[in-house]
Amino acid sequence: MKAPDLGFGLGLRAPHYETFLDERPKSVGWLEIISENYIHAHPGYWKMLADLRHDYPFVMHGVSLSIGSTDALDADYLKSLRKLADYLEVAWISDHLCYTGVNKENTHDLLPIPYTEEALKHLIPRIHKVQEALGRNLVFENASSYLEFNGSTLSEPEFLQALHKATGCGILLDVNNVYVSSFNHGWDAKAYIDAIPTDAIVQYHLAGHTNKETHLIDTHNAPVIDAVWELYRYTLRTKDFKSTMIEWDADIPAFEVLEAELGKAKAVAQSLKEKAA
Amino acid sequence: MSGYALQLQALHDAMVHKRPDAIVPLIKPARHNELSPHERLAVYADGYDIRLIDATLADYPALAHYMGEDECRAAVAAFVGVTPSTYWDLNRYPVAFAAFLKGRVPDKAAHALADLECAIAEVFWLPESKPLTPDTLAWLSEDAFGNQTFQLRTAAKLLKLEYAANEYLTAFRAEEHAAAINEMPEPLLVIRLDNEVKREVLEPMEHDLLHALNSGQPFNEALNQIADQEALATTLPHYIARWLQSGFFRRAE
Repeated sequence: MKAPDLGFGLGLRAPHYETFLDERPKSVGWLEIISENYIHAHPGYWKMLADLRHDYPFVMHGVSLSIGSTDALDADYLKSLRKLADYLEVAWISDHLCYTGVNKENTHDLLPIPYTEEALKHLIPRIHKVQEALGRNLVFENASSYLEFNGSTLSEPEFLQALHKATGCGILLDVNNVYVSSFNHGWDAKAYIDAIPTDAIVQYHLAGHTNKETHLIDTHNAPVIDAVWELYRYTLRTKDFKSTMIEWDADIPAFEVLEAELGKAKAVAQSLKEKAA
Repeated sequence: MSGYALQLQALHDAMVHKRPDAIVPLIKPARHNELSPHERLAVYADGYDIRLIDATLADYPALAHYMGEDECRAAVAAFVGVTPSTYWDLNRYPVAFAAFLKGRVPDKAAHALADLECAIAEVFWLPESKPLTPDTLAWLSEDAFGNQTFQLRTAAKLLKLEYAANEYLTAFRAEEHAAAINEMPEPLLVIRLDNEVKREVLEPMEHDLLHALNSGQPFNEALNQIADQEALATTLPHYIARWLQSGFFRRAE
């Protein structure tokens, strides 16, 4: 799928509403919103988003699509998602390669699926249906994970690549998630990046995580660590420059802290561009 | 059930229903770290409990203050243990806790406070409707007005609390010393007006009339439900003015 490079953005979170509404900082090129936070929100929120939309391109990022689930797709959810996307004229809609529950029960978590041919056969027609319902191609993020199914016959990047090839969906490459999952499963993070098709990448995510020593947890509550910045640098060097944003969802700091993190991402990209020139 | 479906079901059951037996043999051993399958599973299972408990507690802050943080958390944990979420929107999940609490603790004041905080959370997320304004009714004859039905706005909940939970909540929010919750009827309308959830204190007769109207009775029939017709004659014009000016009713679409 073709998507514009929006530059460097942030997730719009409640503690920073005032900053965005009052100051419209130009250091932020675009905003990503969590779809579920606004689908059922009252008109005041929708008006606020529309107001900010005058100054920022928007992207919608969801956590409830549950594309991997064996439950039927939720037509009402898709309808609501499209309504908000059309209202805000978002650049794209993303969600995660995962499932959130089965038998009409929801864990509200991003659970891993087995990466098999059987899973591909299940997901591909579902992605087609969702893309038809939303009137646009979807973008899927690699979720961080803490366990793998021993029945998997494909690697995660191979699975994403197969989905992209069959459906035209894009990939939201979360560099922190690659790092976290690689640590947790013993993957080679750079080999993971290498295996992602460059033309499928629409967006990058960067975030902080929590180090539990035996494993890493994707908590979005801290600055991006040096090793993830290094992996981002590697990604930009070997792939294309694409829209990049910082996720920070817990213990959210002052806007200036996030702005500084975004500045680091810009500096990485700038230094690579200068070297290339 | 396909192999794929069975694998998904196994992980789901371990998280939600605490039945890990089926998933443990399906977990791949990692090459470079020694985290056991049970420890890997715990990241998801513990996260599930924490997520639902925190989401529920977030909607009942005054109740947690009243009951004590530990006791309230234990009640919420028990609720989460027997109440799987069945909807994609986590904001809706805490609503059922108020009813659950009634079967767990005998304190009726706590029930009233839970009902109130539940209504506030629910009204925040309910769909919007347009208000019925006085000019919409201006063309109605007296007879037509008497036969008119009035529905509360979609984002509204009518409450008849038996304990002064609203008084307690007001003190709690003002960070004033919130004393015990006294047994005292507190008729309330929790309603979202201009994108803000408000707690409108009602007179008992006003509550009964709104309740009758909201149950679908035409205006004159609702009036006949009120025992003290003399008092009603005095207060009715004030009620109507307040309801319409504030926007309590919704316009028929």
